Amino acid sequence: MTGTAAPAPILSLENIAFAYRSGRPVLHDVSLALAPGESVGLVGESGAGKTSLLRVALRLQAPTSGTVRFDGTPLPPGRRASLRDYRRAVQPVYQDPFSSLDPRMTVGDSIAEPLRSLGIPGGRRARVAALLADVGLPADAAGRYPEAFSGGQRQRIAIARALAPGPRLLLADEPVSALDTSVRLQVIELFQRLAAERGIGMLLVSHDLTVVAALCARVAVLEGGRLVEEGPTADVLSRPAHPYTARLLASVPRLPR
Amino acid sequence: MTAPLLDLDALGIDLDDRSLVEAVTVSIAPGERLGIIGESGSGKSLTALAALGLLAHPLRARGSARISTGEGTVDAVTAPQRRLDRVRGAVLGAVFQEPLASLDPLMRVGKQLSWPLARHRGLRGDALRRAVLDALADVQLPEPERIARSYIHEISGGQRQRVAIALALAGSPRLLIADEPTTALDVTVQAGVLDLLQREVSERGMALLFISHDLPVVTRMTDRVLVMKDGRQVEVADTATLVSAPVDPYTQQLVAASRALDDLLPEGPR
Amino acid sequence: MSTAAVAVVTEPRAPRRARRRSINLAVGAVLFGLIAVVAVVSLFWTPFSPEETGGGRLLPPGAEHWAGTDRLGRDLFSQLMVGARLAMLVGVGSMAIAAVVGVLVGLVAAIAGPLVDDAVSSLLDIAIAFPTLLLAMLIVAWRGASLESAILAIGLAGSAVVARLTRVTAVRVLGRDFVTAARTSGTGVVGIVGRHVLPNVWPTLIVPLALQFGGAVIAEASLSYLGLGSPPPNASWGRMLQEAQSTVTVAPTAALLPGILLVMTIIGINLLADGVRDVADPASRSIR
Repeated sequence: MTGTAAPAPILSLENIAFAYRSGRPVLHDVSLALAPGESVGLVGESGAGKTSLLRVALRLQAPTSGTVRFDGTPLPPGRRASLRDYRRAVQPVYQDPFSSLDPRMTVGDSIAEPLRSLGIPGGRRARVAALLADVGLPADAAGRYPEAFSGGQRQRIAIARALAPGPRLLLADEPVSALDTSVRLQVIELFQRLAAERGIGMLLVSHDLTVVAALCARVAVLEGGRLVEEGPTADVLSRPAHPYTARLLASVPRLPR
Repeated sequence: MTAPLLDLDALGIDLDDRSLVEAVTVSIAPGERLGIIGESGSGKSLTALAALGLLAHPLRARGSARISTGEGTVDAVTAPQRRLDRVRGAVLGAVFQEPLASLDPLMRVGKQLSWPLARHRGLRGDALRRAVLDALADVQLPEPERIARSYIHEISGGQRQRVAIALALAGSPRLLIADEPTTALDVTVQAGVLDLLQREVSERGMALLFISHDLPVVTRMTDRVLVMKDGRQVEVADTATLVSAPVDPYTQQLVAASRALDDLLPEGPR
Repeated sequence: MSTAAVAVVTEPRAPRRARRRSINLAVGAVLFGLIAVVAVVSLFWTPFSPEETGGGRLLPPGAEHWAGTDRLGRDLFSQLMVGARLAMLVGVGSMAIAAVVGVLVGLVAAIAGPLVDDAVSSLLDIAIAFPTLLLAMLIVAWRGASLESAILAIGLAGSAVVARLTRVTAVRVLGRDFVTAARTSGTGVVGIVGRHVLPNVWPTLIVPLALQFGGAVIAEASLSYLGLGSPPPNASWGRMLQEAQSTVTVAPTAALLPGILLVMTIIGINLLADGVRDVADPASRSIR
C-alpha cells in the first residue's frame, strides 16, 4: 500500500458492468468508492441492478467488466485464501431474516461460523456471547434455534454474525425492509451505534429513502443499471437533480402533519 | 338506516386450542373506507380471511362476520361454502399481497379474467372478449391485448397487481378487501397502484377494507382505522385523530415510530 | 405473511383428521415391527431348519408344522421366517445403496454447474422412466442371480428418484441467504455441503427412502418369482409364491401366506412413512 496523504478507499467499484449469462445487461459502467468509515446509500427499485452490484462487491459474482478494489488493490480472482482478508474486513447483512439463518444450526453456531471458516483464533463461546451483547440479545440465545426468534431478533443475530470477524465495512441489502415499523427503528439505531462507536462503514442498498436518510451521509441513485445521481444525502433529498430521484421521493407515502 | 356492509361482532379465530384473534368488533358502512393496521402476528390478515369465509381447515372462526348482500345477511363464520361462493366476487372483492400466489401461473391473464366476468355478468363470445379488454384498460394497463395474451410471469409485479385488482372488481363488489396490496411492490409502482385503488373505490362508490402494517399508506387510503395487536383490537378511531392524538399506549408507540421515520425525510408535497 | 397462499378451503372436520394421522403411524409401526421382529428372531431360532425335507409333503397347517409344508416337505413357517429376514435385508441394503448413490449424484448435479446439472438431470429422467424390474433383470443377467445382485440392482434403480429429490432440495437450499452468508464467511464448498446442505436435505429424504424399502421388497419378490432372485437354499417369499402356484388348489395356505406377509410388510412401511411424515412435517398441518 502506498503512503499517500489520504487513505485509499476501503472499497472501490470502478466501471462495473454486469450482464446475466443470458446476455441481459444489468449494470452499465457503475463507479462508486467508499472511504474508510463512510456510509453510502445506494437507492433504486427492483431491476435497477443494486442486488447485482452488491454481489459483485462481495465477490460472489465476477463483473462482466470493471474492477473491484479493496484498500486500493484489485481483488485477485479465485482462491479462497487470498480473499480471507477481504472477507474479514467486508461483511454482508441480508434482507430476509427468515432466510439468512440456517434453521438447523443453533444461533451460536451460526454466529461463530465466520470465526471457524476464516480461522480466527480465540475463545469462540466468549466471542459469541460478546457479539450477542453488542446487538442487544441475551447470551443464552446462543443455544437456541432461529425459529424461536422474531424477525427483528433474527436480523440482530445476522448482524452479530457479520460483526464476528471484526469488519470495517458492512454491505447491507435492504436490512430493515422486512421488519415491522417499531423494530425497524431499533435496528436502525443499532447500525447508528455501530458506526459511531466502532467506525464501521456501510454500503446500504435500499429502495427505502427513509432508511438511507437515517444512516448514510452520501447517497447514489441507480436507475436501469446506471448511476443517475450522487451526492450528500441531505442535498439529494431536499433538491433532487435527476427526475427519477424526484419521482422516488414523491412516491414515498407520508404521514399527515 | 342502511345496514352495515360488513359487521364483525366478537370475531375470534382459533388454531387448535390457541386463540389467534379475539373479540374483534367493528362494522363498515357502504362507501366507508376502514383500515386495519398492525404488525406481523397481529391477526389482521386472519381477520380479513374470516370475513371472506376463507379460513383454511385447522383454523376456526367464532362470533360473527355478517355480510349484507342486498337481499339479506350472510354470516361468514357459519355459512356453508356454497352460499359464500355467491357472496364472494359479487358482494366482496379481495386483493392480496402477492399476486404470484393469488393468480394462476398456468393460465393467460385474459382467460383468468374471463371467468369471473362471464359468471357475474353472463357474457360470452365477443362481448366477453371486449369486457376483458375493457377491464384491463380500466385498471390502466397499457396494451390490454398484449397483457390479455400474457402469462403472469411475463408481466411486471405492478401489472400483476393491477390484474388482481381487475379480477377483484369483475363482479362489481360493494366492498373491496385489500390485504397489504402494495407491500411487495417498489415504491413508485406502489404509488400508482394506490392511486388506482383510490380512484376505483370512489368512482364505484365501494367500501374499502384496507389492511397494512404501513401507517402512512393506511392514512392515505382510509377514513377510520382499527389498530390490532396480538390478535386483539386496541383502538378504533378516525384516521386523522389516530395519527394526531392516539389514545392507547401501543398506538402511541406505533405512531411515534412512524413519525420518527417520516421525519427523516424533508417536507414534501402532500 | 402471505395470506394469498391460503387457497384450500374445507368444511371443518378436525377430530377425524387428527385421529387418522396417529393411526397411520401406530398401525404401520405394528405391522412393520412384527415383520422386523420375526426377521430378527429367525437369526436365532426357527421351528425347523428351512431346508429339511423330512415332514410330509403339502401338509396343511397343524400342531407340528404351524403353517404346513411345501411340496418338498419343508416347513413353511420356517421358510416364511427366513423370507422375512431376506425381505429386511433387501429392503435395508437397497435403501442404503439408493441413499448413498442417490445423494452423491444429486449433490454433484446441484453443485457442479449448469452443464453437469443438465447432463445428470437428463440421465436421471431416463433412469426413472426405465422400469425398475427391467433394469434389475439386466443387472442380474449380467452378474448372475444372487442376493447381492438383486440388492445392487434394486438399489441402483431406486437411486435415481433419490438423486432427483436430493438435487431439487439441494438447489433450493443453495439459493437461501444463509448459504450465501456462509460463502462470505469464508466457508468452502465442503463446509457448505456438510454443514448446511446435507442437514437441510436429509429430512426430505426420510419418506422416499422408506418407500424405497417397500418397493425393494416387492421388486425382490418379483425377481424371485421369475426365478431371477437369490437361488434355492435362500427362502424368498417370491420364490415360495412361484413354487406354490402349481399346487394352489391342493394346498392354498402355501400360496396365501407369503402373499399376505408381503402385503403386510409393504402396507406397514408405507403407513409408517406416512405417519413419520405427518408427525415430522409441520407444513402439512399449520398455516404460516
